[in-house]
Amino acid sequence: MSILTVERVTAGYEKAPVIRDVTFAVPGGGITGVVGPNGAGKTTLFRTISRILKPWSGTVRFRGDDISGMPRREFARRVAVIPQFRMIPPPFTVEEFVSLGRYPHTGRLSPLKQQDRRIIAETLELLGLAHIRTRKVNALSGGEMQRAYLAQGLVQTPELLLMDEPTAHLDISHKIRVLDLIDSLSVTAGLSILVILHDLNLASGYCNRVLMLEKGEIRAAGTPEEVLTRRTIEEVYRTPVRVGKDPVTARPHIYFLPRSSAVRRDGPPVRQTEKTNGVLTND
Amino acid sequence: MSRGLVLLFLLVFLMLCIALGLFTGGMHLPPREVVSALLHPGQGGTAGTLIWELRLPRIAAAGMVGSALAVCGVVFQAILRNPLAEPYTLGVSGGGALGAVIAILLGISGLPMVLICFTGCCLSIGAVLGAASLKGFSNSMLILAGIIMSFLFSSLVMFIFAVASSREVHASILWLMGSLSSPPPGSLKMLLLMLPVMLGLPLFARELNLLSLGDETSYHLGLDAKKARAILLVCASLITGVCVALSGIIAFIGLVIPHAMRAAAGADHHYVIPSSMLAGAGFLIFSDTISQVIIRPLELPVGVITGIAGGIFFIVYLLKSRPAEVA
Repeated sequence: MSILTVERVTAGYEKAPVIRDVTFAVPGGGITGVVGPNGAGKTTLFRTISRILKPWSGTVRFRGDDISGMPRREFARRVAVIPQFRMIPPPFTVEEFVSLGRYPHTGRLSPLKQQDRRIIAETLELLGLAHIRTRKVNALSGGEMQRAYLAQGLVQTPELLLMDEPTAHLDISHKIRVLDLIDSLSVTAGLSILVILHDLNLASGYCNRVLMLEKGEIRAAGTPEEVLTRRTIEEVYRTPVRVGKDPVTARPHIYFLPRSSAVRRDGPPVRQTEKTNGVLTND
Repeated sequence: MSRGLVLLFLLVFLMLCIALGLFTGGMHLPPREVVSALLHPGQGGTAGTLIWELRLPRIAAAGMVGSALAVCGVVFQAILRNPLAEPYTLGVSGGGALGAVIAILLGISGLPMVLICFTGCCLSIGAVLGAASLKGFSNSMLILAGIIMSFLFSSLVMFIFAVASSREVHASILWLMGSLSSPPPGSLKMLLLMLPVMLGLPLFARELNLLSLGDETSYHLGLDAKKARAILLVCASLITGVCVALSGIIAFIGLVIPHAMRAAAGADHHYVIPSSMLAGAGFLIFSDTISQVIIRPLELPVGVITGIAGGIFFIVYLLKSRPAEVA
């Protein structure tokens, strides 16, 4: 059964809608990636699903229930939202910062119970933050900060995790570390994950399903093999690419060609590569 | 430093300040007489009157106003997420000043003056929160509305200064500097009425923690950010209004104490609120005592002392902290 369904949703700011008549379903378990060029409406879609924006028309359902009617704290117990990191938080310790994620589970007069503390300790351990639990969160590096935000979302013990660009501003090793974590959570904890990614190759490598947005509408949806084709990517991104098969994962791998090489994209240099590697295709 | 230790240290500091306030003052009193007056409340005499009717009420008022201003500073800084925010940021003091100056001009004093002043505070709170609510209650709108309202009120005060006599202007300026020297008889009761609201603020420590992360993050964690902000802003503004009405505009406590407490006890409001209450109370009692003795037999407005002490502390704090810690 789908954990989240988006039915004919139109939403935006001020006058013009940014996403139009968007319909899709996120299956329970696994990672669903949302890709698309800048301005395609990825973040607007994300904000609509996370209830920051109210849809102009259409419905977003979580396990069949319209999310607009769900009490705020109940929604926060079931769906964790990690927006693209923007603000440097005040000088909480890492542990205090992560503990704030238990808010929807605790009452005003009841402090953190033993179970809450256990969940927090386990999450800190899992995300490799246990040894820096007493450090000030505003003094963390970008990768540690991203993991602290992720930990805060995970202690909400959600069924669905929404993430906007969790790998932005991270170097490649931290990108892989964060995505490996998300990947293992989707397998071990049965967590369903919807994630916005800019890097098409990371989306291809980690997502079970990919959704490509173009100008506020869904251009393609399906497995990475179905969505990440040369034709779709070239039309949506207006950039010449080649799509091959990753020799290790067998998922599509996208090669971006500089404009200067585009003029000779059917010329000898690229052909030669095709022959020698045998991985480039012309689909 | 551990947080328990910080709270214990602040409690001892507060006790020492209260003791200092009891044993020193505008009039010299031998320590033995102070102790004897304290041990025999109904005794009367000069010492008894001085202790029970002047010094103790004044210490109580300074303690309550000091802790109220400090805790309101904590609330405003957390909600507006602005390190420069203080209890007067939303223009509460402007309305209060106009009320006080009008009262002085009309020759009104005592409790009626306090009430006129409080009405002025409420007017400016209403105008600022009303204007901000039209624009989605955003931080920038709140701060801008507060600044504009302050400008408007201070221009009206300037206008009155321009046409008033020099005696009235002098009285007004002394009031504006903040003083605890002559709280009218009914005013302590007003402070006591404010006390439950102020002591209720620690119950909102969780909400303040979330709000300090930004509205969007707090929303995602299940907090009704708009409602929590509105409740806390109204409570803190009203508390500030009572303080302004009773003691004028006492500078810097609401700005400096929260910063100092965050540096000492961390960002968790479960600790920042109680420690700011203790520190604010102690600091104002101490400053008020100094203001009485420093140019004896004359008395300095306490706002001068808090302004100088707070300003020096703030400069040192800014120079010593790394940029990321200031926020």
